[in-house]
Amino acid sequence: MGIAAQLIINGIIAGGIYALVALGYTMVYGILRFINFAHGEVFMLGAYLGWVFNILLGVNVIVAGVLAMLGCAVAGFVIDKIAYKPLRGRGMLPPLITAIGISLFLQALAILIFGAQIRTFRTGEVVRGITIPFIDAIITKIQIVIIIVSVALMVALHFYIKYTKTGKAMRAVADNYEVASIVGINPNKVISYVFIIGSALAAAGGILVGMEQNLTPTMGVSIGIKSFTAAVVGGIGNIYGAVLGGFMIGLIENIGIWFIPSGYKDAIAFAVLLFFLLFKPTGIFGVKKGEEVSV
Amino acid sequence: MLEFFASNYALNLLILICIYVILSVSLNLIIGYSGMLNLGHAAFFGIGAYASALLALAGYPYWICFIAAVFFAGLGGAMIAYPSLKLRGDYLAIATLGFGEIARAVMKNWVSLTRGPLGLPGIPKISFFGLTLTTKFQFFIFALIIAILVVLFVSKIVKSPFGRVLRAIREDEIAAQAIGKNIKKYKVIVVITGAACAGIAGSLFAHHITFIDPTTFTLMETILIVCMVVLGGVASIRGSVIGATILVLLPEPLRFLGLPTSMAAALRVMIYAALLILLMIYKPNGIFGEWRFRHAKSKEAL
Amino acid sequence: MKNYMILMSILLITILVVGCAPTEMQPAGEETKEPIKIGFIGPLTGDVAPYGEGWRDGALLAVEEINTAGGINGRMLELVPEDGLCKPKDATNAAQKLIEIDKVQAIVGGFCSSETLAVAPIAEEAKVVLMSPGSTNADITESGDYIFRACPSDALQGEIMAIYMYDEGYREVAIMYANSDYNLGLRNVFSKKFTELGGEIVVEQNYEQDAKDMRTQITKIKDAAPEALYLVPYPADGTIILVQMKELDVDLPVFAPESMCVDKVLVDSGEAAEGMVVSTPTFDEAAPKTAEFLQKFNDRFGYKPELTSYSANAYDVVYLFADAMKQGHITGTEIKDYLYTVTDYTGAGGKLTIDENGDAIKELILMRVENGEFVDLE
Repeated sequence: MGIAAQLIINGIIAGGIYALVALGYTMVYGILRFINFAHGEVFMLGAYLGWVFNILLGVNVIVAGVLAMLGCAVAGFVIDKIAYKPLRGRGMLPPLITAIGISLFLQALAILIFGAQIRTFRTGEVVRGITIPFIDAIITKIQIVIIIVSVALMVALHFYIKYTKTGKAMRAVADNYEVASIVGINPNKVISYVFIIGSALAAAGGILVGMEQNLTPTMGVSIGIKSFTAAVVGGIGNIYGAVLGGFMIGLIENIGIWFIPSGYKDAIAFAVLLFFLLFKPTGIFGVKKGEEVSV
Repeated sequence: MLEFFASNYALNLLILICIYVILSVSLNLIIGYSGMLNLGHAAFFGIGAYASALLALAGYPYWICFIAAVFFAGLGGAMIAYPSLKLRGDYLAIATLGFGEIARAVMKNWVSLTRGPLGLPGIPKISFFGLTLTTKFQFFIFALIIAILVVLFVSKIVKSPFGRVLRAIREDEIAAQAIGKNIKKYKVIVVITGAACAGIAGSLFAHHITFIDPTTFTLMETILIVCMVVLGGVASIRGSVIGATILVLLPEPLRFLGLPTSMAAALRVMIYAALLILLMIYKPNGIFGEWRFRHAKSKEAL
Repeated sequence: MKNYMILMSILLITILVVGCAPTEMQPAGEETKEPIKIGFIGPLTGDVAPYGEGWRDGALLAVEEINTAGGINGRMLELVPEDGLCKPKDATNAAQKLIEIDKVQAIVGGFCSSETLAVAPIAEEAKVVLMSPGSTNADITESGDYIFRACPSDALQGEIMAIYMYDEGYREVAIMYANSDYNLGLRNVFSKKFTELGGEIVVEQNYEQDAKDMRTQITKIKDAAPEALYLVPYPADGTIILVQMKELDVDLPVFAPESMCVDKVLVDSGEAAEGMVVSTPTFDEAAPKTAEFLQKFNDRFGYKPELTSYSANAYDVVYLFADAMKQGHITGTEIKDYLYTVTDYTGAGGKLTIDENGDAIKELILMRVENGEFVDLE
């Protein structure tokens, strides 16, 4: 029982982070049909901003986290305005390449400003984790924080989407762009909100990971790809799908390398992806919108 | 100036241009003529490189290595072509990305075959008909000839009746099917051909650098090739040639900008990225773009 | 048509810029006041950049010191750093540029074995010295007369640890390593030697070098109940593993190569590193030249290098080149000949002798972490 439970806990911890980042991908894609390749870098930026506020400026860690989220929200907004907006409606490839350009640019910028060395953010001593009663798995305090914070943010997002005016507007635009604009919703404003919220969530993920592990300029790359995969598996465009996908990938990865050589850990996410794409391309919660499957 | 062009530095770049021309033309064939945004192209490149390198290291003559590269890369193409028939648009792109990453994971972890991260050093020089390519200049001529042949081959396909059907499929798949064309067959042939050509590039690359490892065949590499295609204009063969040339050469002048030592490398990447972004904003169709990648969103322009 | 013109002009301009790049046409051997250039190839961007920066700065420190002390017989030394990205293609582009355009006769680099192996044939043919401060892949030994190393080959470190662990009585061990060339190379040597001696590897796990979550791999190792762990990481992931091991209550004696013999690892992992044994070239951070190097490095750049011994090696390589050049050996061939005579050179990276293959013979010692510091093991 102990080992299985430990693997599940490991999976949940990892999954929480994937889910947070996947939300940003899925929200942007849901409205714009655009894969925001630079999203992983926003995650990285969040971690570094958190580090700046907490370690360099000595701000309390929770406040630092919130400030970092705000900073990234602004960053996401700005990136959309200057790089993606001019390319709206120009097809799929130019925005994709632009996003890639932004991703490279941000990574290099991080090296320029912060240097390439590894930074840590650890608060407190390294201690043995807490054993969870009954299931005999070990978890540390900050990992518990990760799970709580990520779930809390997801719940907050759920309420936002369901009950606020902007949230409903987002759903409307994602569902049917033209009709939404006809009824008076300003799609540009909604899109901006999507970037703002998505970026803030990614930043939260970044800070949590930074605190639990460490900071490097390329930390967003692999998380970015896997979280995106999670979003697709869960049904891209659907925020509950992103959450589910995130946790699924986290769990399958960790349970998977129990059975296959651990070198393939990263490939597991892609294998899951391919499996879904071949048998249920719209993902778990996805809805057929007509363009996904061939005649 | 002439001495410069004969220098190994220039020849090295010219050889790389030949290799990347093959890669971008073959990717363009797939993207522009079968509508598949293939984000796993580096996998075919890598499979060809490893196939050629492994056989060369085992002592087989080059022509066998070459054919192996073509064959195995084409096989990779077949593996992705059939499942891809079920998917469209973004989903297909994502599937190819997954395929590419899985291929790379295999290259990295199947250590008994590929030596994994240790890579394959000491790949022998190319020789055939008793002639060995020893100097960079000789290699360049060889690579140039191959590149020209590949470009001509692809051009012929595109201009042929076969190519016209491909264009029909691209523009309106349902109509093409209505005329009775077996779309699946066309698409599969195109993908396999594109993959096989990438395999050729892989073989050239392996014997040029004489050392390969999995770090060369990453998603970033595919993205570089995609940029070459988009820069030149999707479905424009000339565009791909020009795109490859520009993107291979682009980082080089940046070396000479005399940037402060500690910041030079990072600044180079930033300038490179900025140029890419500007290019997309001001010339999104690429230089010779003939056809815009059709997309659900393009009808809902803001 | 207009597009074509624009295009042709871009191409032409590019070619002109590259062609007209500063090329002092005199070879370095002339009696001029022109600076002498030496090249550097290492990962300055990308995943391995955290380490590459320290290596470049180590070399840079040496260059600056030499220049302050009067340069090479009145000529200033200039370091030309190029980004190898830890990849063969980029490393070879960098090497070609350094050799043909900058006309360097010696290069500090590559760092990753993949860079060194790819550049070796080029350097060899151009008769330019390539001296790597950090590539440990065994294949480099045979890669050419102009190819040198300042660090010992994998073959040594892996074996020493295997012998030590066996002698200490461990028979069933686990190996955990990053999935990169440096680490796989060491793991291969260790594994072979340890099983040869009669030991057993009960479980092995690897992970991507930039991964941050190794919990499940650690759990798997815990489950197999080995007696000890041979850990072959880069410092950053090694730190994470030590920490996660402690958090998961995995209490195993840990043995590691010099990649873990880094102060920062101890600082970042705190208690978790206690008791770890590392093998390292006699590179005692407290030894005078080494301590001096670290102090000067910190003063100049404001940080401590991530992989200390290799940064120190880079520093030493530059000094070795400078020593050769001060004695009038300025061409690649002359520098090469000089390097083969280097015996017992005491540098920031320890005492170094170059053998007939161009490999470095460095005494390896074992150290253990006690009370947050590395101390010699008897």
